[in-house]
Amino acid sequence: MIAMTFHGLLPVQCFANFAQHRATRLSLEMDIVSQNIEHACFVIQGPPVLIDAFEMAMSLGPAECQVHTIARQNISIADIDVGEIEEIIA
Amino acid sequence: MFVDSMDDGWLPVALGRDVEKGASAGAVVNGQDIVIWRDKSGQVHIWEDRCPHRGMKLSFGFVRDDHIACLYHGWEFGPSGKCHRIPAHPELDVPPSICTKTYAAAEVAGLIWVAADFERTTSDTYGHAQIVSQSSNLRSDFDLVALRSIYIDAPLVDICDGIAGIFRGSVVNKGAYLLVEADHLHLLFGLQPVSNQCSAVHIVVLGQPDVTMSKTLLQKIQILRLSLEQGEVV
Repeated sequence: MIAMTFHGLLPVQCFANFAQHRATRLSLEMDIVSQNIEHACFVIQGPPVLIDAFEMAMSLGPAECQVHTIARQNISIADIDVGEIEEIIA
Repeated sequence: MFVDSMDDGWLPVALGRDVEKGASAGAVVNGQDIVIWRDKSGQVHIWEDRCPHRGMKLSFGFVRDDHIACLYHGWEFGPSGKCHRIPAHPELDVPPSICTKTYAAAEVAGLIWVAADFERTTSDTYGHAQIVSQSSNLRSDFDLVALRSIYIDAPLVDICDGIAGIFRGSVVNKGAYLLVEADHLHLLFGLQPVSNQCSAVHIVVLGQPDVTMSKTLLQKIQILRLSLEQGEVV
């Protein structure tokens, strides 16, 4: 399980829709941890190579978005809720 | 006539002869890019001409046995349109969500056809072609000779008028194709709308024309194209 954090110019609905579309296409599970116009954090689960493919796709992003940085962090599924994930990746 | 059923929402996209086993070709139908490829068993497939990975045209790819591989990164797609192998990650069990769009395809009367609405499932395809052949009233030894495909920068309606003017025989317009009886020949013109202003015509001769007849036919079609593209009345 990976927490993937994006920073840039990320119109919320557009970026979330794009991410969900790509995750579905790659058969990845995706949950939105937090999101605003400058940052987005998603938790991604699935085969590592497909998570890599997801990161590559998100680095390009839709035309309306600019992704400046992407950070990844392994997280454990056990006893972790959304609030804790935000603390871990902060 | 034997191709009557093919007017039921099907469009011709190529001469069957022009897509050999193990080959692929790109085409455009009403602005939609498609790939036509034939596997080693001879079965024809028509898909959206776009690899789901990076959008490369699959028509540029390589056909091997019963799958086609994208030119860009070698992703391999089986007959169902699903990706079954990614060379960079050979151990990966590719999820079925990684797939390309497939369309219903049929091969009848020397032409390859695609379902015009692109919505029919592949399972409709060969059942439909069988129905067509069963309803055929052709003699079993009736020959078909694929003549050529030709692109013309003109809308189909002008092309149909031009064909009627040039051949001056009996012309039956079936929408997706014309049946023309002229000079003791029966001709089938498959009509493919590429865009509003560009079309492809796929020509099949029903019978066995000699070389002179074939040359004459080809010259007439060339004249038609030049006339239409130069805006002249045929």
